[in-house]
Amino acid sequence: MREPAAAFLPLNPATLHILLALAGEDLHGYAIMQQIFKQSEGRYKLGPGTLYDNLQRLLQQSLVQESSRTGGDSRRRYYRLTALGRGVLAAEISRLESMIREAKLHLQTARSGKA
Amino acid sequence: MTMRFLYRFLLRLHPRAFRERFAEEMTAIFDEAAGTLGAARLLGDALLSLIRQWTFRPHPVVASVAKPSGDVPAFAILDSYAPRRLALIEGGVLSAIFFWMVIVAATNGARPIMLLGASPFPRSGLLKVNPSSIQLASRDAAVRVPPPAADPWYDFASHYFKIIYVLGALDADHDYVISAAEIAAAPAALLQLDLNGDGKLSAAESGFYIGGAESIRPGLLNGFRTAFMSANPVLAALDTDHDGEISAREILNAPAALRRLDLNGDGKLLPVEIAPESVVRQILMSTGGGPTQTGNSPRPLRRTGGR
Repeated sequence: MREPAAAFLPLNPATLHILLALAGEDLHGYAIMQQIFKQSEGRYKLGPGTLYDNLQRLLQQSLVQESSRTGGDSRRRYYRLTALGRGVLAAEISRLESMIREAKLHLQTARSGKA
Repeated sequence: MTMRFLYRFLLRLHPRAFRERFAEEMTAIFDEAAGTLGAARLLGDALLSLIRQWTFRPHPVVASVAKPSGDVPAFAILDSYAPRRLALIEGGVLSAIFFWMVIVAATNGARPIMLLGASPFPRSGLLKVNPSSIQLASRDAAVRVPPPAADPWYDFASHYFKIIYVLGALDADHDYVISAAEIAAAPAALLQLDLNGDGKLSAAESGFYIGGAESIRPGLLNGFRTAFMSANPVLAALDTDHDGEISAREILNAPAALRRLDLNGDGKLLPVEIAPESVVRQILMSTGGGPTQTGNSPRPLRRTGGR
């Protein structure tokens, strides 16, 4: 039978970045945007529309839940990964690792073939 | 300030579920990041979000229920397959546009109210009835009782003779058969239809009717008239010069023209002999080509006389 997490794979880039951003700590929307900007070394800028569109879906899929944490602006809400969300993120990273391993192997084979 | 107002306005246009859940947070981000990210970029982002939300995302319909009191649990009804209000409006608008396009295409861009067909009754746009041309039936006129229904030829003829005025005029005894005597009396019978007294029968006087004729291009209307006159064998036989009307000379020569339609040579015209080819084919197929009461003489499908 298929793993529950496997049903969500592969993740789209926005979802992967949001889950990665929330892997460390509970964050509010703007902090998630900033974290994504930082972890992608400035290459990925997520707007609030895209962020909340994805968050809405992740909340519905129970990969993310609202945190009880509060602070600063009362309009802010904090979000955290659920156990399922963490499992999905781990499965996606594992899938990417396996893909990278496979890609490296192919590259090595191609190099040795040329030599 | 204007940009913030616009941003709030765009958020207000989002689906209710999304707006209630995230609009305040998005506004907080706008307040905090408009300076660094750029208000215009955030506006563009909100616009994309708006399109995405209404176009691609299902919106659950949440029915409000009373707040729980004490230990009584409360439930909300979630139906993610309920049609969105905007989708209904979009569907309505698209249907209206499609309907309008079909009407415009059907009317060739003219005024989109038109009915094409024939009518047993004079309508506006047609010639007025001249009461003096109506011949009253005499009290002792013999009227034959038409054969009962369940005869496809009878069913066909009972409608066809009403639609094609010429046939109605020729068939004086209303038995849906043009007898030898009726053929001989054809000129007088036809002249009864000459409502404007010009000595000839136009397509309209012969039974042609088209609704909204004034909005149709003259060329196209003439095409319809010609098609009407040529599609009905009796009219085609009478209109020997195929000019779309039955002239005085053609009225005079009507008996000879009608006799050419008498394929079995019995001296009279049965419905089977005066029906359009497609009707004959259809009825013969449905009856297996067997004899019937009013069309009791199956004939070859291709006419040897006439046009």
